Amino acid sequence: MAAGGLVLPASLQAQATGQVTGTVTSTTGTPLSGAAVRVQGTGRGAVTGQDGKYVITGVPTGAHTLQASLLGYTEATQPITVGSGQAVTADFQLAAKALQLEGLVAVGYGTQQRKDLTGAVAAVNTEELDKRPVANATEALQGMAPGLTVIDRGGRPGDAGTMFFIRGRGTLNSTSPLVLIDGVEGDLNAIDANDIASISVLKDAASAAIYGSRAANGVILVTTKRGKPTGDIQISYNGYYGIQGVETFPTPLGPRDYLELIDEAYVNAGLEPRYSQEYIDNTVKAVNGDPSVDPLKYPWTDWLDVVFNPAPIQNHTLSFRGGSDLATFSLSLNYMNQQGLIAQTAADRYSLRLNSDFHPTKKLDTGLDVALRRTSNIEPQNMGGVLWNMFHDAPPTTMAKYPDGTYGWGSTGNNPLAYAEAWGRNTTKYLHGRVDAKADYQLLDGLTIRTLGSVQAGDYGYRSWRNQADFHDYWNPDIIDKRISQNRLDDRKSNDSELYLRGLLEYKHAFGDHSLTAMAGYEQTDHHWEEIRAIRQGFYNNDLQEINVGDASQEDTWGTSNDWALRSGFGRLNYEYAGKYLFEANARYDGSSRFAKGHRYGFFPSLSAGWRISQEPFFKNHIGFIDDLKLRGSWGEMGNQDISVNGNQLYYPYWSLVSLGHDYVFGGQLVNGAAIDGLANRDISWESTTMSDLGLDAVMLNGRLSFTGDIYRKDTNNILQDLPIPGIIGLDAPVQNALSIRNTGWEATAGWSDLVGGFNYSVNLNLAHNTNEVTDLAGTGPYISGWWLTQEGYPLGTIYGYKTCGLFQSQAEVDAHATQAPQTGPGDICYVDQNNDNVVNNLDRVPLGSDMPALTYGSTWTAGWKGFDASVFFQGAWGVHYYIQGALVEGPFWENYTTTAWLDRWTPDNPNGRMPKPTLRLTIDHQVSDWWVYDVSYVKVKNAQFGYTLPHSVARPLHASNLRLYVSGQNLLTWTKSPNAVLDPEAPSGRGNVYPPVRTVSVGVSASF
Amino acid sequence: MKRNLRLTLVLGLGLSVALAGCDDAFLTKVPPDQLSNASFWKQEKDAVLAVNAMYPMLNGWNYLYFDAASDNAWAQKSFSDWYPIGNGTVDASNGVVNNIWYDSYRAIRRVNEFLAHVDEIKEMDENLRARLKGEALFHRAYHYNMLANLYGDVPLVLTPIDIEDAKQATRTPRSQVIDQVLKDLDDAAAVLPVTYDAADYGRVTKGAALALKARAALWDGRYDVAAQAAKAVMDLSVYSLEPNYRDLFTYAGEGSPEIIYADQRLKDQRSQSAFSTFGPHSMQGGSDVTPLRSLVDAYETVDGSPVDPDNPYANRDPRMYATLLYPGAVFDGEVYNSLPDSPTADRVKADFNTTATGYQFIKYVDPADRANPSNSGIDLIVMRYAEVLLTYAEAKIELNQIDQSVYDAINAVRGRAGITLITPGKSQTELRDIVRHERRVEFADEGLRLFDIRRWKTAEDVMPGQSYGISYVDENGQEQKIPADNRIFDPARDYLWPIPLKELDLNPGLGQNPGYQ
Repeated sequence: MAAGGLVLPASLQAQATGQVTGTVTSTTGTPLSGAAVRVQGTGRGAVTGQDGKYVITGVPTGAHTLQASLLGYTEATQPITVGSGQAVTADFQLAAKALQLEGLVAVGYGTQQRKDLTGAVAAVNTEELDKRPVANATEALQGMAPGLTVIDRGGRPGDAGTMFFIRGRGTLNSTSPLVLIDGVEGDLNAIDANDIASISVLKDAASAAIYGSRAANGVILVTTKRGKPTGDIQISYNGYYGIQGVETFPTPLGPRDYLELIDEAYVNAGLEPRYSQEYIDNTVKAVNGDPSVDPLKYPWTDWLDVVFNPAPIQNHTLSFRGGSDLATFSLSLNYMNQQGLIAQTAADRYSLRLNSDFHPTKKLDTGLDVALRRTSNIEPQNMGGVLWNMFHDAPPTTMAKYPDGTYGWGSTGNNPLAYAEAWGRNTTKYLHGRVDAKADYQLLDGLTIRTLGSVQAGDYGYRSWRNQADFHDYWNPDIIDKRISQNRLDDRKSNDSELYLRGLLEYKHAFGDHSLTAMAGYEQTDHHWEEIRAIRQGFYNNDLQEINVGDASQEDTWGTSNDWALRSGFGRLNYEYAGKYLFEANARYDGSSRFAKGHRYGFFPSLSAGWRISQEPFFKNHIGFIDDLKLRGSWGEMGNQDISVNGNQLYYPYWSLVSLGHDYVFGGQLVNGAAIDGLANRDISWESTTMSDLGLDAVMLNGRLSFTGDIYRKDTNNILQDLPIPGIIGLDAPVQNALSIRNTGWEATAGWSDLVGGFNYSVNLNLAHNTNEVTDLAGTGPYISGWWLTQEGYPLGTIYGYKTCGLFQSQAEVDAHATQAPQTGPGDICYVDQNNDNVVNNLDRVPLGSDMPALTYGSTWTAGWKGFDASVFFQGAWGVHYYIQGALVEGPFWENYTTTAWLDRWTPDNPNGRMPKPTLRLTIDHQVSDWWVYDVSYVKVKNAQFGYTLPHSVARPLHASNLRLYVSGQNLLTWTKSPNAVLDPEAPSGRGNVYPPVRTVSVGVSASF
Repeated sequence: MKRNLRLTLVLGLGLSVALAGCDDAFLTKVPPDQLSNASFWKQEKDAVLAVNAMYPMLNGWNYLYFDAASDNAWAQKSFSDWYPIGNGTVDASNGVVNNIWYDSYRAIRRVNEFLAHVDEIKEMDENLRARLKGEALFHRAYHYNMLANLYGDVPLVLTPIDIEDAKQATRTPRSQVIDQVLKDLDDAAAVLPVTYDAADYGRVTKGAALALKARAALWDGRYDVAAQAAKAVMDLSVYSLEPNYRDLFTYAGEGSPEIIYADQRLKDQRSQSAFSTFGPHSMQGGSDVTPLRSLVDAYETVDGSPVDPDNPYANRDPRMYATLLYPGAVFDGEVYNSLPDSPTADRVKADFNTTATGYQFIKYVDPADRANPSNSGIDLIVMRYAEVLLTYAEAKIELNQIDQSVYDAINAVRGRAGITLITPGKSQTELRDIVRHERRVEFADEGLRLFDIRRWKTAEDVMPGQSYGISYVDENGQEQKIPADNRIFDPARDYLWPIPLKELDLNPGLGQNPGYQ
């Protein structure tokens, strides 16, 4: 629509001229605004508008070279010939540069030129983010920045299940990085990926230490999109619709194999076979549809098929952006709806974000941002039962549902389908609002004051409703197979509110070759949370689901609250000499309400320096193919105040608390009792992390090839932990500053992008390696929790159990070996007697490897030609070990979900079977041992996408300046070393009773008008 | 205008710093829903609350599991922490071994904390203060008696200690621990009332302190002390045997004059789940602990005649019918059938929640709880009058002070059960066997057997080897026995539990019990 023209000298007007028009788009077809298009050697040129269009008038006739350029994109030229009075059309497609040297990167409390960075900061390419249909921003980050590990644990609606940490786990407490959305702490999962303008991941101390107390796990800065003073309003729409299905699942045995295996297990246990040959034959016939047998009498259920069903997901974002020099705005509206694979499972989100900026005077910038979102999700009341019984205690011989809708209960009285459909549902609703008001004022030349106030409040409602139900027997309805005797409602309301205030002064001064930037600031956060909870049972019926309708004599109530506050002063100093030598110092002084007076404050400094070697004359003049080369190093300290014990945050850890919850009964009435439960420690203070980083950035071959590499060491000390104390004290252990953990590693990213003819392509590869070691446990330990070991000299997440020595082949071998469990016989696992005391017991357990990957990697491949674009994103990990337990290793022992892995089992004729001798209900083969530790190294096609941008001739009649259609797939393919052993290499170690990993295939459209 | 704006901004920034200036207030957050130590020990009710909190630590539920460590029963689930305790493979990281240790010292801490602070409360009824101290001392004595009998020598902690004290602690010889137990109980008995008002029913009484003293002394072989203490309970004349033995373990027995101390339970609010934990699987029970054949065989016939091999469950001591189910028993109107060809969910070993011996314990399994098997309000008995009578008898027999009172005590118990009484003229050895046998059948499934076979040193005879469940006739007409646990028992080791490994790690000076190193 609008195109800005350059001011033209009047003298040129007289010549014979023509006009050049066209559109500048990215290689993916997105119109690029603000691109400069010049007719070389004529002084004529124009800047593109929102729609990417430009018009250059007064171009002298003749042959010219037309050049288009835009920050962050590779320049492009094309020849044109202009005739007098003619209008020539010339369109450009600009390829994004692999590394944007000139771009501004968000850093703590400000921005910096990428070339001036001295810290390890990864900026995520938002264009890439835009293209992947994901439910939220966390999923989108996976594999896109080296050193940022994102583990995707399933697409359970309303619960992304994604875990992320930067440069390894540094603490036993929370490992989540601090996420700041426009400078204020927020939830990355809650933000629509379409609203994000940029993401910076601050990985080292130099970049993160300015956030002091909460920076030890790294910082993720998210900047949302704002309007630009384009003089118009651009409307755009992004939407996709996809179908989700189960990504991977171990293959179950068929009926004959399964039933015969169960019989074998019974016989091995010294019992009669459970299923007669006739029963097995009939079951097989029933499965094959043989009309001679009644399939209802020989049920065979594939729970995978019955419980998990494909489900749609959709996401729509409509945005309006634009403005003038006086005011700009960006308004976006988003709707997301995700149905779950399991009945009664779904989530949706409505959100609104309005970012507005006002510039009343040249020196004053003000803004008001409003973000609102309402999320709700539902899931079966007995989701735990569904996921558990998918794998456990619901044999496939259970009828899922008879034709009349009656559920079958099999031999164990469990039915995951009934748990999903008939138990009731949990509903969660969350309404969250945030308002930021800010004002920046230039006090003096070079001196600016910036203030920000932010209020956020959330209103959370959770209802867990369980139905009352009698489940009658199909064959004899007089019998009730299963009963939920009372209906029940657990109704919780909670809300949280946070007030954040910040003020900072910024000073910039340049003289000669020197350039100085200084910043000093103050901020405080005050957070409050409260909850009230009511429970009743015995409701009038299953439809009236309000507390009032329940039986008042069966009620329970709870109510509580907590508060925390932080206050901090911070500052930064940057000095640059001649664009070659860069220095930066940060300091922060932080106070936290979680520590007692005298231990409340922590000081966190950092220093960093950079040397732009490529700016040195000796380099510049001799090595032409390298555009930019920078060496940087940093050192700094950061803190952590998040203390949790068993996953519960401690807000008042230094108080000695007398708990009133020790109830007892006297005279038939419940009475209160009060006792101190925990030993208090008034001396606890900050965890501190010291980190050193050495990095290299290089850009070569006119920006086509880029490389960034870092090595680092991160030492976390004084980790807050409830070190065990002697039981004879009689109290819970207090949190103490005690442990130390070291993470060391390296990260590398290399990218290549080029345009050949009309074909552009890029390849990007990032690799990260991290080793983790517990360096000091304050003289305590080792700690063994389930199959996890925490011990000095070993990584966190070390699996602890027995080494194995194969399967016993004969009773003689069993007898010759150290004494194991009494029932051990041929076909059972042999455990190594580590201490040679001729008995295998707890003392023989050893570390069996870590579940943290040795190497993680991500690789993105893109290509574009004319309107077509394609991209594939691979993500993987190497050297990951999982300990598997539950149904996946003991299927026949408990008539659980049994995989085809059992086809290769020990029998006297198959002495080298992978699975031990099946028997019943014995745990001797299912001790934690390396037998059940699998290498689950994997590569996934995390995302593949193919898009087409319609030509203008088609888009224009639709009033669209740009219209792109695409198909996309998420979690498309997985290659793993142990395909049938695990649910999914990204699922957590353990029994596999988790929401299944989800594959999504979707179609989408993005359009601007 | 410009100047004003600038001023406003600077002031705004200044103000936010100033507002925050009152540092202590902003960064001092007080726990909103819990009392802190600083505000406690001020009022009379604080003392009452502190004593109340000792009661839930005296866990009557444990008594339903202790028999699994004896020849009476089997904790049949191999993943149960009681399973290795029963079969002689327990180690120092065992969950039960840890929990009882930690819970006992947690309770002791509450007592010590109370005793250290109760005198800080200024305005308080002195009689109440004395009584509460008596209650507290009872609790400390209870836990030390339990610790000494399970672990042997244990650290004797009588004040609230901190980490450094605890790491230096050493074990006090068992006999000194018991000295302290007896002293605490004497002090408690001196101030505790014989009975309470209805609203305080459930608190420990003088009788409870004396009965516990009798138990502690008997278990420690101090027979004169045991006999005197038991006699003192009898002389209180407030306790008597419940006429119907079975009633004791159902709602009918709530508040019975036989109960000296019981862990008080209340439906919905402080319920227990004996029905769902121990009951038959056909009624949603879990068979956590099941009777062994050895116990069944121990029950006499009503008239002392031999057991009829063709009808072995007929005509037996009625206490057997009140304690366990066997094939053919009728419970809540249904025939219990655990035979290997049973069509019911009780078919022996059919499922891990089904009995693995073919028998089923039913103490505290009341048909009234069948609809809500995890929500029972039946109190769990910790001490009852029959124990006092048999303690008296056993102590007198061991002292060789055999008189009519000994026969009366034993016959009171047998007479209530409804079996033949013993006749006079027995030797000390005969009477010893009689009273030991009587304790076994009277208190089966009540947790005392473990402590009895330890102090009698008979565990090494009755524990090792293959144990069994029911017999049945197979298709060839052969009588078969359902095998249960195959147990080992090392007399050099298994008379004590190990000191928890975690405790030793933090204080190696404690030293491990023999055989567990």
